[in-house]
Amino acid sequence: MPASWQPYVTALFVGMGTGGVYALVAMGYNLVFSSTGVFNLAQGDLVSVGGFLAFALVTSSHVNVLLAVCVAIAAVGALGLIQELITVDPYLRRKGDGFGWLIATLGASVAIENGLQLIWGSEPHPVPPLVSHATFYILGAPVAASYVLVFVIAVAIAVGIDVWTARTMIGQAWRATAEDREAAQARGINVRAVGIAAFVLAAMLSGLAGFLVAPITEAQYNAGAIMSLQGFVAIAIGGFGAQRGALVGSLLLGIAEAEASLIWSPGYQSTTALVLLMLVLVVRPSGLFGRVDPRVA
Amino acid sequence: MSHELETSAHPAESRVGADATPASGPLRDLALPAGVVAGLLLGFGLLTLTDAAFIDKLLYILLLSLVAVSVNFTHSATGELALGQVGVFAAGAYGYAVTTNHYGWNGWLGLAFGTVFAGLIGIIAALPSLRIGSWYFALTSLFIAVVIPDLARQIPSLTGGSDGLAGIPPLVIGSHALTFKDVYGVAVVLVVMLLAALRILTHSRYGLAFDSLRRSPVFATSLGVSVVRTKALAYGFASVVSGLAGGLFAAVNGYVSPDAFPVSLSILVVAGAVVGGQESVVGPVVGVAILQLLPDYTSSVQRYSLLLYGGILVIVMLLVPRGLVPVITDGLRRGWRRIGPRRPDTPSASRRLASSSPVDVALPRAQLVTDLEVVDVAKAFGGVQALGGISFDAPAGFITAVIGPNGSGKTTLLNLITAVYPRDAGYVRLGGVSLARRRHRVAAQGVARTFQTPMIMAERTVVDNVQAGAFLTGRATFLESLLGVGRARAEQRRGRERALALLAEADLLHIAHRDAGEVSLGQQRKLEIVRSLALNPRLLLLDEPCAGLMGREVEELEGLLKRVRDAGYSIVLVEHNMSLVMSLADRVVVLDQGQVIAVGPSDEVQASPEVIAAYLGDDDGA
Repeated sequence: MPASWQPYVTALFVGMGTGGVYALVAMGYNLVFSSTGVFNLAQGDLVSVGGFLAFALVTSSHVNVLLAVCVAIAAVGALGLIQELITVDPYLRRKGDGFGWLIATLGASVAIENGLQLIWGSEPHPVPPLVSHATFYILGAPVAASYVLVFVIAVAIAVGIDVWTARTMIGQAWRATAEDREAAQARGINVRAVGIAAFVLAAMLSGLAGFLVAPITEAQYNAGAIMSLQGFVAIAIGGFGAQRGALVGSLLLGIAEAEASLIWSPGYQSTTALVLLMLVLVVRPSGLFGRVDPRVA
Repeated sequence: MSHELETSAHPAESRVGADATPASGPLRDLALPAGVVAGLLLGFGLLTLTDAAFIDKLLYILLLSLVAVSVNFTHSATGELALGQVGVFAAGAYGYAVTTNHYGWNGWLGLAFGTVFAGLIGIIAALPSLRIGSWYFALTSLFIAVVIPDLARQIPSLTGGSDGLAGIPPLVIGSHALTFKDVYGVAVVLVVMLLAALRILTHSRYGLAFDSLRRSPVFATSLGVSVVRTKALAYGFASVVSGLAGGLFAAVNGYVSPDAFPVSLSILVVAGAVVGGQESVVGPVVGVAILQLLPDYTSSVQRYSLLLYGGILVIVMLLVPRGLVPVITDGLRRGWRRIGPRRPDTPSASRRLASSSPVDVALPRAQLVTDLEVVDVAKAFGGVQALGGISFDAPAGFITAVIGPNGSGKTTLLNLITAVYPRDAGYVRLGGVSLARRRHRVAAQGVARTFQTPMIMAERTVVDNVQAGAFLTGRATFLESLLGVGRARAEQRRGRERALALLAEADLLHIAHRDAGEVSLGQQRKLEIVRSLALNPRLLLLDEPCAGLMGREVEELEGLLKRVRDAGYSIVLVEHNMSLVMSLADRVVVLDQGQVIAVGPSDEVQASPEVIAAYLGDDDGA
């Protein structure tokens, strides 16, 4: 392989790493959207919370990393539960209220972001690599361990969720709810509980994502809005409903952004994502693996 | 949802006006000018304040209000949420800044460019998601708010990058450079004119089209309203307004930078629209003012301002989802009713109306007599063959009933004729011409339909609902409709007279000015038929017009349908009530499991052994 390719190969793997973070967010969206039709605009801010917990626990308090990640996941899950009960549940129970939750979750997003800024300030907070400072050489190109870690965990979780939804009772209930909410309800499934569980699970995935990405991006209070949007683009590319769609869409987005940053400048990250989103909406509105045409849904 | 445009700057007057009884006619005509005068007086009155910083602040509020009003308009016209409209505002500001500062354009030219540029950016970025609908648009819009400042940072040679662009020339008239007080005056006029125009728009053909679109896209297309074009029109207008505000912002500030357009500003604008009340035209202005002024008077709160906005969004959505202005105006309205003069009750008002209207007008005769031919039409959903090659004719001037048990494909057939679903195979011809595959075109070809569950705009009056059916017969442009001039005014008056005449024909004149959501199911079904006639159709497709009706209501409806037929219209109705079909229909098509099993005159079909076996046999025939 010519040496001049090296930066692009590195960018490829970096993209797969950041794509792994998007995937954790996007899979969370999928879980929630499929079962309730809700899209949490504060999801990206929950990622930020996970990042700051990594800073507080690992950088400041030197807590064991494994313990810290468990605490962070649990804490963000709890925050998600509170958010669900305030900004989503009331609207799902109110008939025909349309987009109320969209505005309420937007409010939650703003409030969480400002809360983080008040506690930790506007400066980015560094977090050391969680497992190893090592640099891998893949196809001759250097790739930091943190990227590999995120990617591996994201793939493992995607597989885990697929197995979980296929094998467990709760997973089956979620699938039934996603298939047909009313029919599931008629069969005695507590769709409200399923929706809340999915929301909390999605929040926990975001907490994990934030924790994993913190060593790469540092913890920043205002990274949430763009993260929410990137998760959305990833899922629009992959198609709603399919976990592998969320994974593939996220990886494609991560890689496109990394390569575009290399070719032009890092500042074009959001533009790349928007252009990609518009392309998908024009060419294939249901996404690569989408089962439902959004126009009918 | 849709009485946003019933509320005006001056709740008391406008409410009296909105009753639209002849008695309140003069008041109604006065409500709008009174609101305009009051708005201008208030706006210019504030100029006498000596605190320049405060006026500067008010100007900023007015400019953001223009954005908030455009967000609100987008929502009320299309049902879509423009969460990131400040991105479009920023595009307008940069459009002005770059052309005037960099290329030395005249300020007014720069303002025009910024406005058009912002409109184009808004439309181009939004079009793919507007086609798809649901909340794709909301998120794409939020994206625009992120991307525009990011892009400005990336091209420092043009936009000054992160440092921004300083020394932007002001707007100039003659040799006088407009000060911020001048621009404040311009902004006051703009806001007042915009609100007045949006209120005029309500009763125009476009106002009705927007309402139908928000009710349901399938419904809107059945009236001949193109979903994509109408959404693009509404959002394009909203973007032009936001862009104009952005251009003024750049002109009066003399400096723009990416930091002036954070995503949080978009959220402030949305919060303003929500807090003020999305149903209300002035709501967004009030909401933005509250949110901008609140942190000022509680300066220790400034640091928490975003927490405050976020909290307010959550709490307002939870407790007063309609927003503050509609709640307050409702309260005032109730108070006014209690202390004010008693308004005429509905019967007397309608009697007066009836006497002034041509009650004895005959149902207009169908303009063209045409047969419907359905040839080999097929449709499968997934692996299920809903309709497998259906063929039949519906000759002009007859009532043809399509009957069959539930699930036999009746409604699917209507949806295939009207192109709500694409046909897998076969074609449909009306008067020898193939029907279009685009839904709104089918309506333009003269096909009107009703729905199994009546599709009505519940918060609009009955006569408004009928007028909505006449969208295609109007020629007034969007701009004429906004300004209430030219063809818009004349067409509206004619359309109203015609709608009232049609209502009289269906014996609905006495409820013409009631909200359509309040009238009985039977009246709603008749209203749907009247609305269909307003389209000047050649063919009426009725989906179970008698479902849920009782004795006398059924008879009334039958009478109406027979009169419509006798006026020369072709009617195809879908029904599973056999006895009704036999008394009403001239011809019957029997569907069973996606196939035609019998066609012919009613009495012959009724006697056919296959029909008795397949249909009557496992149905009680009620």
